[in-house]
Amino acid sequence: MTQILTATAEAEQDFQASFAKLIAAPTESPFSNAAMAFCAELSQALFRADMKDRPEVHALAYWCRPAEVTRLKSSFAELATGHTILAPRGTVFHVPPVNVETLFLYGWLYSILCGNRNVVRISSRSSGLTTELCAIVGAVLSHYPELERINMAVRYGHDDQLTSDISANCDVRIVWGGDETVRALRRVPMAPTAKDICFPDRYSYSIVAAAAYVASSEEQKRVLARAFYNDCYWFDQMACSSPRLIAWYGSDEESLVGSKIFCNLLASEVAAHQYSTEAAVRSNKLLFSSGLILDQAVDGYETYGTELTVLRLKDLTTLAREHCGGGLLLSVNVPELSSLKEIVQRRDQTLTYFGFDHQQIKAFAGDLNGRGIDRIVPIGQALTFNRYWDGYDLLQELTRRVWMQ
Amino acid sequence: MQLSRTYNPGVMTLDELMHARQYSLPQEQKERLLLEHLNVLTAQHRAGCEGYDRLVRILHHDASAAATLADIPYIPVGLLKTHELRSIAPSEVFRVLTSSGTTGQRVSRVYLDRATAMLQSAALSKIMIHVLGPERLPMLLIESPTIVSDRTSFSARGAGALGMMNFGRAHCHALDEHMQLQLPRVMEFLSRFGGQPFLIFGFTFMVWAYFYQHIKGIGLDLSNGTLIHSGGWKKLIEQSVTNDEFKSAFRRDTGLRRIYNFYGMVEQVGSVFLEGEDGYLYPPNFADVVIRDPMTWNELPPGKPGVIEVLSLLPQSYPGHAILTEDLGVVEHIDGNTCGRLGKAFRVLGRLPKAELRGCSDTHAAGVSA
Repeated sequence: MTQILTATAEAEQDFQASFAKLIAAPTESPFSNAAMAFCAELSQALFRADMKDRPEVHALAYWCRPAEVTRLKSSFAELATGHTILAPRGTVFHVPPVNVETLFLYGWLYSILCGNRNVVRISSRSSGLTTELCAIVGAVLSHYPELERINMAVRYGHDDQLTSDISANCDVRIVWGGDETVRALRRVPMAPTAKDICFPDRYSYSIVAAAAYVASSEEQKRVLARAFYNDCYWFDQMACSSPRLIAWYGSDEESLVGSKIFCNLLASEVAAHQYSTEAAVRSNKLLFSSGLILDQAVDGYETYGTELTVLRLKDLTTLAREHCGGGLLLSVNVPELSSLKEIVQRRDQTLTYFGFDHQQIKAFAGDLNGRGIDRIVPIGQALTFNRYWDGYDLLQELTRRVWMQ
Repeated sequence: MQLSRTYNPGVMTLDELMHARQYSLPQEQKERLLLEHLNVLTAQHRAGCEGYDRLVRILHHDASAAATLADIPYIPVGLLKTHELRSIAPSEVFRVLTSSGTTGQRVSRVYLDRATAMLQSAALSKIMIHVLGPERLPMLLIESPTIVSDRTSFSARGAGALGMMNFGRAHCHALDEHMQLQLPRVMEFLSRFGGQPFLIFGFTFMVWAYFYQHIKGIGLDLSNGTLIHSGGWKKLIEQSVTNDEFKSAFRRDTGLRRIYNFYGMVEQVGSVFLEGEDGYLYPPNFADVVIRDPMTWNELPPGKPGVIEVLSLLPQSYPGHAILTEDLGVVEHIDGNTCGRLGKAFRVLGRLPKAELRGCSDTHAAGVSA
């Protein structure tokens, strides 16, 4: 069944008619006053919704508060040149993942700010939180008629026709949700002038300078453990940017000492947050770990409390990128950065770090030369969504650059 | 049995354990006997299977000889779906059993040598004789004849049916290949054998849906029969049919009173846990269960539900003597002797419920596929 989640009671409920109206309506100017005001009001509404057990909603509210959006507006202005301006692409079809509820809003908000029309496909398998968020967005949108008429979230199940119709009539399609979803959507044709922005399955890891970590204060270590906990556990370690592997850079001894301290502190954070998975997740984690022990250069299996399992790898030569999530961390010692660089591949997305300065990070990225890793951020920032994601600049991708001479 | 030679002289050999009256050993004595044999099996499989040796070294921290059943290094059952685990040379593989699975699902592959295959059928026989007696009984199979006609493909259902056929004679298949009840065949079977003890075998759901549902109203007399069934309750629980209801329905509509469910799996064929007259499942002399806490994987005491681990002395050719299942169960009592059986009385509570993790990657893309 098709259900428009953002429409107010008196508004059109029939999808085909609403969609026809939407694509006939004019786009907005990028960073229009209405879009800026909408973001500010949405930020307040999200803070007010007070989802204390949902830190990711809090993060989203923080992200779209006025100060942040104003900053974004000025960086957008910097993109224009004397001979080019940036204009909306037109209609953007968003196909977000089912399980990371807030992610669809980031992409959507960037697109609203760029002035585009938006149709957001909400899966019929999506959670209650997604519906709640849509209701909040819908309520705020209703205060901005010029935005409301060009924005729509629609919930539908397995409906190829609907996906085809929207795809045929959009200018940009943003597909999240992994390789299978991307493959499935790529088979659905779009207009020749339209483009896909795809976010397939990715793999992410961390690197910690062992000596710097061991030398850091107890308080710094605790802060780092908390930051890592957020990166790792907010989305059951299944967000594409959640770290699944931690590489300790330094001597064997420093790495082992550092790693033991770190894992114990991380386990304390896990316990303090009362993070808990279901029995089936633990059963699967045990099975997955057993498989890795057979297939990879694993030489240690450790459990810290009930929700953190650590598998120690001898080296990275056998690293495969499948992962079960739910608190399984691979740990490896890299005496030389080159042994990490060597294994980087296209699928690798986010490298979170501790104990490196900007020069070192820049040199590391320069050496990779785009082979893999699209984000290098401090530990704690893995899930912090911004315009630069998976190698794209979303502000650039969601607008067209018009050349004038 | 030739394999007894591989064991140190103990209080009882595997052969003796199989020949002793089943369910007659008090738990303490049984565990002591099992431990000795299981430790030998652990060493044997470590020597013969590199993967198992790695798991013992790493996952189980190089466990030395186990002091309790719970200390025996186990493998998760799913590992037999993804990895080839055997302790014998490829040339010694006599038969490969596969689990049933829907299309696209991975299936377990269990590598048997001739000796293990023989042990399996001998073991099953010891268990079945306990309720059927030593005579081969006329046998009604709630199966189609085609399930066992192709002897090269040993599906779990086919292997199970074939294994059970040894305990009967004058076999009559009650279904055709479309799962339709062939009532005339059944009537003919009953007119010949219905007046004396006979055996009925089938998979739980098939017995209920393809047999009971079609005969419940016609007054068949099955009162001399013994029904043995297995295969799990998932589909029946979905229809709100419990074991008690299953039994009372047969009793009410057909007079059938001797009904024994059993719990077993292709990963440990022959080592089945047969229901006692009190409705609980009992491990035979050469097998046992340990219930584990999924939080810690430590053993749970009686009364606490957890994940079932099955232990068996039969797997000689693959490291499956201790397998952590994905089923939930609970030990109700030990040596309670509520139906003349000693040892652990347990119940199976169903599969571990599937859990969906969050994450960017949708595990199944059906909802958006073109």
